[in-house]
Amino acid sequence: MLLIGFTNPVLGQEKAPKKIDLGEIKGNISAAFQQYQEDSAIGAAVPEEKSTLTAFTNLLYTRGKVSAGIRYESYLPAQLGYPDRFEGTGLGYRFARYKTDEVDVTVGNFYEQFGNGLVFRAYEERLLGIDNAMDGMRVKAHFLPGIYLTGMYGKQRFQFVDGLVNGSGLVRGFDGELVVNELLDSLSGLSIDSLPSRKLNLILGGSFVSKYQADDNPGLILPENVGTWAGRAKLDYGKVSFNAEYAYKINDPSGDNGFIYRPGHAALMNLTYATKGFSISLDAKTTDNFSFRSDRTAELTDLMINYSPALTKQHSYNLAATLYPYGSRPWGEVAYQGEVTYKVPKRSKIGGKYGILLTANFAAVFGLDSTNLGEDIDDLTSTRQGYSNNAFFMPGKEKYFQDFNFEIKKKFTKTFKMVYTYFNFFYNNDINQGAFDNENKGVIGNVISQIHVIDISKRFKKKHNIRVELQHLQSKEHLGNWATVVLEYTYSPHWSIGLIDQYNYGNPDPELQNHFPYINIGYVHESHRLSVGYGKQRAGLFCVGGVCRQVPASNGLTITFTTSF
Amino acid sequence: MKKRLFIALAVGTVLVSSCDKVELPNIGSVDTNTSCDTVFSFSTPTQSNRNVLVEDFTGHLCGNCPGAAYELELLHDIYGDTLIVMGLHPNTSFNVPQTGSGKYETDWRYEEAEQVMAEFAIPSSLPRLMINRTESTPPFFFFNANQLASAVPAVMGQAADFSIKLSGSTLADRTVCAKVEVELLNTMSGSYSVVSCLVEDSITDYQTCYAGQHPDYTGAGDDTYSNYTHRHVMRDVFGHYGIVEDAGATPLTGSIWGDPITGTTVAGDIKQFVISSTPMDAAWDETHMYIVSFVYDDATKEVLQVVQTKVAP
Repeated sequence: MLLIGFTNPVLGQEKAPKKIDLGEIKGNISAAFQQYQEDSAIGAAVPEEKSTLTAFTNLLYTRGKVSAGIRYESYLPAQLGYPDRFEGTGLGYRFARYKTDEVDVTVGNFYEQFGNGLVFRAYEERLLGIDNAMDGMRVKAHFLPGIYLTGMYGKQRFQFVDGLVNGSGLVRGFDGELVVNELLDSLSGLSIDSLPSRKLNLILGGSFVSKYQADDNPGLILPENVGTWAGRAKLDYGKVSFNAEYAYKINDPSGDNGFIYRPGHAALMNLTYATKGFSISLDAKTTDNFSFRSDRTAELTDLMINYSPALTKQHSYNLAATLYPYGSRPWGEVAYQGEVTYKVPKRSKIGGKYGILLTANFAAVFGLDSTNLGEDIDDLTSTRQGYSNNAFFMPGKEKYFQDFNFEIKKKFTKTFKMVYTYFNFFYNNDINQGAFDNENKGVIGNVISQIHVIDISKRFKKKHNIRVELQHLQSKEHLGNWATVVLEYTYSPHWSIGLIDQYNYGNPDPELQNHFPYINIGYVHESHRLSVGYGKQRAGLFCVGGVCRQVPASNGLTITFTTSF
Repeated sequence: MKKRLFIALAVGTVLVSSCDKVELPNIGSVDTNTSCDTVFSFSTPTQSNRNVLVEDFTGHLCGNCPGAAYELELLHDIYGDTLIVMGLHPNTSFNVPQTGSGKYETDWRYEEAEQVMAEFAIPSSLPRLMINRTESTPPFFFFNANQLASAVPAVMGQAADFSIKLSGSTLADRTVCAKVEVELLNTMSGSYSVVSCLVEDSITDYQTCYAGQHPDYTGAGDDTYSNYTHRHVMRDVFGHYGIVEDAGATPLTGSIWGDPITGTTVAGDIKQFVISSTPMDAAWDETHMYIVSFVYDDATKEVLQVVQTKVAP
């Protein structure tokens, strides 16, 4: 906080010094330098500049109800694997905001999400190079207890060329949420302290989002304004929680759907029961022709207005996370997931002194149960519907992905614990297209793999901790078997050193049974972190939250620095 | 409080109205307010080879003309529907209607047939024939009947640059609506047009037939046969009705030169035309009506592809 004191020269001896609040500035810096080397064995790519620098500096100024911020970005050039629309250095995000208890107004850039994001989600996922920040205006209003309204209007960030470059389409939307209990409490006239504790909590919400893009197609009459709306409910009753959202979109011909005019649907449901030592969670999702972008010709992760979360567990162990990850299919899918967690009680016969945590998770994703209408969509009398959905929320014949995994987590002593995890993946590469063979051609058909991971952690004295991961992947398809070893040593509170080696010992071509070693040393001091890494990284899909990016193989030095103030 | 609610409702209304629902997305879609807005089911498209169009200039007083018609029947027996015939009755002495005798009173003449005859400098002595509008002995386009047996097989089986499929149906006022879809099988560099004609087949009426011209018509002392079957009589040239895909040129309504193919002419391009006839004459038998559509080269006038389909009642 910058508080500067001024003394009145005349009255200074009679009154206390008057302090003027000049506000507060906060910020953070994140920079990654990468130096690349050629490595023909793994097909490592090297940019012409030989090295890259990707850096972000956020500055946030706050004074009372007003705040303003900027993000200065540098892609000199962007690290390999980033979308090729990021280059140069300049301002990539700027905003000003006025916020009270009743009104919250933002001009400039902002991130926002309506409900579960089925119709609108503006967010940044820096690791993937995703940033579809809105640039325009947002107003949030909370005039009545329990009622929250949000309206927004603007364009989406598309690329960065020495500064922010927006896409051409307009996006505008409105969201309303009713927190029923809050409204009832306010109507009761009781003070907060005397309010009853309600077992049932209910939140209802609805959203509408529309986009505008000019029709520049000589062969089609394109809808320039495309609307989508959604309704949602969240209900908590004791230990049970239920969350559901349904969304609908009118005709939205685009590159994603082959320019058909069929409406889109999406639905998401989650049911959770949790009690001491036990929880169960069931999810179901379907999307049907529900890709929604502000540019109908955009591809990959560009200019997405909505978000389709992957209903599969996001893994952190190297082999499970990077070889066969699943990304949501934009044209449509039906997905189910269930997870059960049970803790064998402490001091029981099986649980021992600390108990055992057991988790089992199963997820499966299918194509839609649909029928191709077989119409000639170029026929002048065609309504270009493309296909029909035979059964909403029911799976089609084609399985896209399946993941079964279970984890046993056991703490043996205060300083020693172990985790065993088993994964079984079914990966339809005709759909997911993330598996490439030694000739860099897409693998045809399904890849089935099993992974075993043992994760051991031991603390010595108070400041020393060693963690070892032993991972093994078995597959008859794709590149065969893999083994990974991770060694991590931490000397608290400042130092850490990690070594990872991925070894494709089962590659059908003995000459390509490569190691991918990588060493990393980190130093942390207060809010500053410096990390230096060196080694090889495998080409493949990199996914976060069901959104994926293809990254090339690389070999070289990486230095990252982060700090906040 | 009311003001806030009103503002919220107004904002919501504006947003909800921000949707464009499109019923018929393809440009060139039939105008829904017009009578040819009907569902079409296409004929089987032409194959990779060119069909052959023979235009038979004939007349009911032409005693040698049945010989040409007979020759075309024989060729049709060999080549089937890859040989498409149109009989054109120009305004010559062979088509002048007779009065008083009860014979040859039908007026077969059709203005567009006369125009075609003039454009291609067809002699008035009939029968004369054009085969794909190719030149016979340059600069002439006409063939004689005795040349058909060799000239038609000579042009059969050529590789096609265009494929056509066709559909037609009849409205209550006996207007025939048609849709023609032309697909480019190869990338083309010239300019091309599409013509569609309404044809009535198998009309029984008077015809002069000299001895030896047609084996089905023999024995009449005056060479007059009241039971002659007139084949493939061109009745109308379709005028343009809808909006031509890749619009830009003004359609030539009812012209013998048809509608131009506009836009790119790249392999895979598909051009659609929605067209209509004038209402059919009451005497025409709608169960005998066909549509003949062909694509021709604007520069050489040569017919590059042709297809024929029956009009659905």
